[in-house]
Amino acid sequence: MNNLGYLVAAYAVVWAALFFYLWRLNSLCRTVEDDVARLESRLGTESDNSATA
Amino acid sequence: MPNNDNTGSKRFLPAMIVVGFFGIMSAICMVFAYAPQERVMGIVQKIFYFHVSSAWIAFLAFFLVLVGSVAYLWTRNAKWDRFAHSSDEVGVVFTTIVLLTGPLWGKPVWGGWWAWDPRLTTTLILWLIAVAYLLIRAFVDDRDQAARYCAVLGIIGALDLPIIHYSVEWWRSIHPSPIVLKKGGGGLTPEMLKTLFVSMGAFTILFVVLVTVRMNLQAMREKAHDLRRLIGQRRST
Repeated sequence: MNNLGYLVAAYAVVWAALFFYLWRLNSLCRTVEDDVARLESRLGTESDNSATA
Repeated sequence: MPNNDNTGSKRFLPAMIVVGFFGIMSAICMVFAYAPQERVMGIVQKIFYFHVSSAWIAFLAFFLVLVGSVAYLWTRNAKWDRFAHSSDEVGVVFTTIVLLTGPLWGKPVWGGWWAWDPRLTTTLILWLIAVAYLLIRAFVDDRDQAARYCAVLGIIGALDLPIIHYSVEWWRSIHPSPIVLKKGGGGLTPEMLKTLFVSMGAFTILFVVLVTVRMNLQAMREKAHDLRRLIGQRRST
C-alpha cells in the first residue's frame, strides 16, 4: 500500500500543533512579562508620589 | 512538588530544550532511516511512532492532572493547582494530536476516518473533559472557585484513563490492543521498539519543558493580577 499522503498529513498535524502551541506560549509569556514590568513600574511611581505628597 | 520559584526551572530548562530538540531529531531520523517498513500497512504505519508517543503523553498529562487536583484539594496550595492546570493544557494539545493522527492512519487501514469504537469514543470524551477544564478557567472569575471546580473535573477526567486503556479488552474494538506491553514486543521488531522508545522519551522531555514554561506563565499571570489589585487598593485609599 502506498499511502504517503496520509503519512505526510499526520506529520504535518503533529508539528503544526506543537509549533502553534509553542508560538502561542512564547507570545503569551512576552505579553505577561511586559505587563508585569509595566505594573511594577506603575506601582513604584505611585509609591514615590504618595511618599512625596 | 511544583515550585513557584523560577530559578530552578531557569537553570534546567535550556538543557532540557537542547536534549529534547536532539531527541526529536533522532526520533525523526530513526522513524525514516532505521525502523523497517511494516509489511501489511506499508509506509503509513510510521504514523504509529508519534501517534503512540502522543497518546503516552496524554495519559501522563491527565494522570498528573489527577495528582495535582488531589494535592490541591488536600493542601489548598495554589502551586498544585497551577501544576494541574498546566498539565491539562499541554494534555489537550497531545490528545488533539492523537485524535487527528488516528483518523489519518485509520482511513487507509480501516477504510474510514472515524468509528464510534470504544477506544476512540472514550479518548474523545477525555478530550472534551479536558477542554471543559480550560473553559471553566476562562469563564469563572473567582480563582479559588475555578481551582476547586477544575480539581473535581480533573479527578473525574482521570477516571476515564483506565477505561480508555482497557476499552479494547472490555468491548469489541477495531483499535489494536497495546502491543508494546505484550511479551516480545507484540510483533514489533527490535528496531521498531527502539524507535518508539526514543520517540516516547523525546516527547516526554518536550512535555516537561512545556509544562514548566506553562507553569511559569501562570505564576506571572497571578503576579500581574496581584499587582493590579494592589494598585487598585492604593488608589482607593
